[in-house]
Amino acid sequence: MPKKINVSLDNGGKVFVETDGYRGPSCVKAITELFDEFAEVDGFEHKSDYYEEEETVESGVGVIV
Amino acid sequence: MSSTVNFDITLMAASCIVPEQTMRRVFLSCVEEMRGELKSNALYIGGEYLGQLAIGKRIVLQYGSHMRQSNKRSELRELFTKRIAVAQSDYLNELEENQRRLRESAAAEASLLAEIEQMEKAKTKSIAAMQRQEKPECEAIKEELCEAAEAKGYDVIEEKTKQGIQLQFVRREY
Repeated sequence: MPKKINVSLDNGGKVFVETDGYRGPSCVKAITELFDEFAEVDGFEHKSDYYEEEETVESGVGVIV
Repeated sequence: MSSTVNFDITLMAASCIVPEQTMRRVFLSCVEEMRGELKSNALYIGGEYLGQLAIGKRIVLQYGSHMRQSNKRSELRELFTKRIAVAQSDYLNELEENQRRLRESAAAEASLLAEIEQMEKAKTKSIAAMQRQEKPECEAIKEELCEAAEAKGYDVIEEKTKQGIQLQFVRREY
């Protein structure tokens, strides 16, 4: 499943971000890294996927643990 | 879905209009002109807290939703856009002048030609960045975000809605 970050921008500067396809805390890392030049992002609300074990990469091959 | 988060930002200065140092100087002079001050990147105008600045390649102001009514943010952005246009004009002239001088150098060595080429790229970037700066905030921040996301390994899918802009950043798989 492709990893996606969905971002809604309204005309008043409001930003809403949600991740899709991530498992575990990597979603928070992905958002933080994407916005690191723009804002200090905090106040995350986590969905059930967040509490699942995340994927690890070994020898260049994606492995779901 | 894994996680969601909300925040509010305004793009005060698009990247690459002028060198970063100039961008900062002009921005700070605008802050001063509006009787504002920075305290550890916290921006105050006339004693009112407007948010926290992220100053790097670009300048972004982050603020809380409860503060959205203040129009000082857009006043500051408009003032900066006017002032930076003057600085950009000087910058482009300076680049032109440097290019002209290098071209005139007797031997157009490869390194000089590369330098001339770099200046040409800087001019193109600066002109594009100024056009971005002059766009509505939502459009300008969208373009900066898309550029940053592409550089960080995402493909971008964009959709305009009545409320604003919907972006989907899809992680490139290698």
